[in-house]
Amino acid sequence: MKILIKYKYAVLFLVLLLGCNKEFLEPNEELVLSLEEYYATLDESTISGLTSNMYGSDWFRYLDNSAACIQEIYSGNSFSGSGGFVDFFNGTLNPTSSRISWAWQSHYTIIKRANDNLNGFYEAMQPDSEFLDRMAASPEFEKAVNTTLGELRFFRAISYFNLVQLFGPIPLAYDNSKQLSDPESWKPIAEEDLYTYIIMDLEDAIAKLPENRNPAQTNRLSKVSAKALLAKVYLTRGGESFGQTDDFTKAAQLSDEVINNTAGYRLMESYAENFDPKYSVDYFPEECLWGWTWQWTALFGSYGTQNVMQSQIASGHFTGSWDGWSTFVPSVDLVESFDADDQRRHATFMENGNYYPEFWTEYTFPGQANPGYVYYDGKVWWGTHSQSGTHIRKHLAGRANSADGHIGPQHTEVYTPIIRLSDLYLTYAEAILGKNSSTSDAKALGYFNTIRDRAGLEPLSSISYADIWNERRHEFAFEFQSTNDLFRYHNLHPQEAINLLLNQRRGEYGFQIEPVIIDGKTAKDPFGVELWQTIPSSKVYDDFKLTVVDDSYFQIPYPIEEINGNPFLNDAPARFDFDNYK
Amino acid sequence: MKRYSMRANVELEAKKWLKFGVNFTAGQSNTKYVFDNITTGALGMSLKKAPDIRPYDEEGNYIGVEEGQELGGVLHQANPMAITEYQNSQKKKFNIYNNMFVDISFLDDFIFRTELNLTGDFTRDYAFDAKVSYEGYENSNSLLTERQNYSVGYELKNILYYNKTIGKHSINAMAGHEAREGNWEYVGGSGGNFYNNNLNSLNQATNDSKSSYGSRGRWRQESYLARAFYNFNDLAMLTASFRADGSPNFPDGNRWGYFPSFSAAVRISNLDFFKNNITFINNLKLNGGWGQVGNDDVLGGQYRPLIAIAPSGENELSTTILDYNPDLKWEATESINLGLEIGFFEDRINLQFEVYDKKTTDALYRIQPPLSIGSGLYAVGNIASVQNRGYEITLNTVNLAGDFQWRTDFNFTSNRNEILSLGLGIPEIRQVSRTEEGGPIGRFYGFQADGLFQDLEDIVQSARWKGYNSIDPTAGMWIGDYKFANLSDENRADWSVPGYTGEYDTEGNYIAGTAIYTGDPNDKLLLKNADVIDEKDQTYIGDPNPDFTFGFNNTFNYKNFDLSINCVGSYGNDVYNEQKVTLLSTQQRNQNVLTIAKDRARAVLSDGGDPNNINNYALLNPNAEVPRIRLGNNFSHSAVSSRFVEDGSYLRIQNVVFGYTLPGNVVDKLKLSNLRVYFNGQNLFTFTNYSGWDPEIGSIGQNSLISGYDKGRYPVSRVFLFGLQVGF
Repeated sequence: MKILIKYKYAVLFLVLLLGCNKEFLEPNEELVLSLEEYYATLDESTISGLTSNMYGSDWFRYLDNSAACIQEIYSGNSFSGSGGFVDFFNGTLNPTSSRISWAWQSHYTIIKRANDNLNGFYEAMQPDSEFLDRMAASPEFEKAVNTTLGELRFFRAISYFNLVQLFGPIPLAYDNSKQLSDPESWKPIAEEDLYTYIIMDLEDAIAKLPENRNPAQTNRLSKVSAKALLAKVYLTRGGESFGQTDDFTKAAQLSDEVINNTAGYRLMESYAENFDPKYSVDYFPEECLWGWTWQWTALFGSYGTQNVMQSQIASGHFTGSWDGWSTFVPSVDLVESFDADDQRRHATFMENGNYYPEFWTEYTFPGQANPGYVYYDGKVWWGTHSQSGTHIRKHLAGRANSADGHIGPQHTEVYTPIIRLSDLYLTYAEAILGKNSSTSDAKALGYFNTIRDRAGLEPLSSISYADIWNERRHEFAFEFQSTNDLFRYHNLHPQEAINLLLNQRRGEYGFQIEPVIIDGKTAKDPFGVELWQTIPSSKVYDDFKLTVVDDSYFQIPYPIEEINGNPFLNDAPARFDFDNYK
Repeated sequence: MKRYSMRANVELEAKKWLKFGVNFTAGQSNTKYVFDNITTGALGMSLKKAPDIRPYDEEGNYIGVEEGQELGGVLHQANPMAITEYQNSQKKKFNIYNNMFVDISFLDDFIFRTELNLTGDFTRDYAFDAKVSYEGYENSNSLLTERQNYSVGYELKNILYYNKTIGKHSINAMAGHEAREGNWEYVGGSGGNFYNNNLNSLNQATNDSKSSYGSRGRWRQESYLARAFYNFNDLAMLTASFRADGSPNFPDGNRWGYFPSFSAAVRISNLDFFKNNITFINNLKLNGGWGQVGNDDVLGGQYRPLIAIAPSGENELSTTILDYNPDLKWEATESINLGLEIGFFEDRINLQFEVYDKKTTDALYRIQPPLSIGSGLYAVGNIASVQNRGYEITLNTVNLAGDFQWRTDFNFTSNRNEILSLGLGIPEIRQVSRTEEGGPIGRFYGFQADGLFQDLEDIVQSARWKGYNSIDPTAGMWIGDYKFANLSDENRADWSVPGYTGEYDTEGNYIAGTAIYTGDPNDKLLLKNADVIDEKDQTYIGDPNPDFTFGFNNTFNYKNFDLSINCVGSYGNDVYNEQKVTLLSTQQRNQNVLTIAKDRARAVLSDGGDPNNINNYALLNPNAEVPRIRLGNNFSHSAVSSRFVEDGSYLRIQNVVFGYTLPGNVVDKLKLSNLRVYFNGQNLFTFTNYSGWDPEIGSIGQNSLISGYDKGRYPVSRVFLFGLQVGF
């Protein structure tokens, strides 16, 4: 018995001393995907998911007002009196202007995603790796990997290109995990090196991306997209102090190649066709070389993957919903700069009486034979009117929850064009003009006048930089190009760019509104809402202009979050060690 | 709110050497909420709406906004009374706790205990945003959101106890093993566009409005521990302990952390010479200790590279590589404490005093790179250290004994924390706070307000706001705007003020008092090397950490009456009144403001004067707290500044109980053993100079980096209770 008791005690002590199996403290592998496993299991059907966010939702923060503030309001194309936008309108930017940090954040998120994945591939594609064996064994897989690598390089390049144009020297993230604990690597990098980095990325993207526009997924990138971007990069660098002598030549050469592509891209016959709301993730027009893809879902909770431009630029009357805030509208300066005969006018902004058959497709306005929306200013938001009597037409989708398509408040799926083929026609002309005061080069004039011709305008016989600026402004208004164009203008002709800003009419019309009379009575829209319009003869203009514009206008300040988080931000720009390029 | 709970304790001594026990607790609650956030909730909207807005129209329908009274975006058009009716949520909770143990005694002095603890927490949340439409506001899609959390945990302990007393020596020792595991899961879904507001189960939602989400996970810990306590005759006491803790949150070589501790105490009052000579002190004890404890809570940090998978668009998944740190290890807190305990006059006066010094090294802390390098999907490192030092005093006195009894319990705590190191040395910024090495946690950081611009010369002579280059009522600086202290001389630059001229000395420096308004934008007043108010001029403008906190409780008993009054307080803590920022904002048209705005500064234009000429204005209320009204971006108002820092010291009468116990003969007649009626008042009054609702703010989301930041925290409620205590 005594022995038995002792045995019992021994068991107790054993329980005490053994503890758990070593596996008890192994991490939970459920719901977890390790890096090795991920790259080992990528195949040609799943690999496209790796970049899908970078085609749309990663740009959302930039789309949702930041791009408009920086590119359109700041450059004078657009008026806004809303809090947070006014800094851009008054030209009094400071690091706390929240839209600056959204632009910064959106671009660096894309850069990080590109870096992480490029590094992931780099690790997986070591010599003699299974990954390389799989690529060698399957041409489809090899092609899919190359496409993805090309896309990643393109996205990194375009993000850095946008940032360097706006902010100048900026930190260069190339290997985020490694840089986390290496603050010295957070220093801003000289613009010259950033451009070299961008060009290296794009050259590789051109080598790896598919030859042709993908007819099954028209939003996806091709070699031509990367060439178009590279042309713009060379064009921009050519005007910088550190530009290379052959930058303009290269820009012209690449533009020419893109214009004469056989990859499936073409100019649309009509300018307005580019902004037809039917173009979405399912199909992009052939003119679009690169644009943002948005996804519509009915659910408000899926915010961040859809297009919200309509909610900002349209009136509540147009959307028929609780959105439509007219947050920013065309500026008086832009509206007055448009030639009356310019066919782009109708597709760029809406004016009293303009008829748009592509919207409100179930409803017919009084006095109209066919269904469609007829724009009248006034009564758009509790009796006020737009500051210029117009609303932006581009980016619109139609009336919410109607036959117009997949449209809900703050939810549309209209694509956002960023690089259109027509850009390269004007880029060619600008590259040939270079630093000269004007050019009459026949080919440059030919391309330039092709764009004017499509807009219904007379050809020019000689082009100055002011002509380039005007043409680009009218061709790309509200397509998030204008401040970049302005900064390029300033690089070459600083005083002209300053004067241009000082002379901009940034004020608003103060005018009266009166009911629209059709058949002797006040016209009502198909829902019975009275239509009002401004009386053109009563326009009184408050002549607000910028009072101080100096060279500092042509660089956007760093956002406060970066200033606070990066102690090296104000250091002199460092040179990049290209041994770190991956 | 409804709440039920039950509890059962059972112990069974089956044999002399064998004991079983079960403790079981279960609780259930059901709470209903109204959407009350300060920006667009019922509470926020009722504060911000113009006071003359009608809540209902003639027919009794809600009115959100009327013509000319719009207030920002659509959410701001909501009627607060409608919010309480149409936006509701509720939370149901059920939790159980079950503890079971078996004690086996053997060899006289040993007990072996096996203990199993089970916990379960189950919650269910519903939020319904009903379809509603009224003047100025429309929510055309109803939306129901539901979420269910399921979390169970267990803990298994095997511990051997040894207790032995031999004469004046006694030893209590234990050694054992513990393993803990928790499993959590949640699932949620939403759907909307219901047929009407009553038919609102997810089954009744339209298909395209539905979405769902969910996840699950697990945590574990394992420990070995041993402790020994030796007591000699209640005179000298020694404790030593040791524990080894294991966690799967760290890589293989760093999984185990080892944490020893020691303490010693001497009860001097038990020494013979003390007992014989000092009679008015009945208890005098000194103690001291040193020890370490660990922490493995890495808050999402990880030691190996993982891929995050998230949906993208309709049919695709996107991947992101998460940041990681292969060197993660246990964080350790080392503490030293010294204490003194004295009892006078048979404990009529009892004083305890303790000083402590705790230092956390290798603290697990987020590696926070700038936006350009990081992405918010952060890594964690052992890269911070914090020190907390302070003392605590507890004093219990029996002031009056006898028929009329009066006892006072008083406690006082003073703590100082200091960040010894913080990652890469980059300060942590939260809303209005900044935490940096060498300072305490979470001080407010911003501009030092320095009164209002009084006139043209004042603007010219003061440092201008960065990015503001003109003297202008809308785009520049103007009289009646806030001026901020210029603390840094860096970033000076020439300033040419358009529309003004002045006189200069031979070196081209502006001569004070000569600035003139011309109105011609081509004229420029040149101020050489002028100062700017920029990031460099920010400074610490307040500290939410109190100098000390205290509490005292007075208890009075007289015959059958009893009264207890409990007060708590805090001294020296600052509050940043963000609610005041919101409620004094003039950036938003038609928003209500605090009454102090009535005495705001006003730039009054003289009759017929040119409105662009600053000299035609007189500044009314030149020392006002509230600057002039200014639409649009308003650095004067929105800059984080000392203007909104207030002293948050307070003394609160937190709890008062007044009771009467019925005399024995009455109780006997009712066949009861005890009957007491009482009145209880909670949070009866708060003495404070703080202008907001309640100075007791605490931290946001339990993040100590940002505390004392008042965004309109719902104040504690005053509660009155009448109670009846019955014993059978």
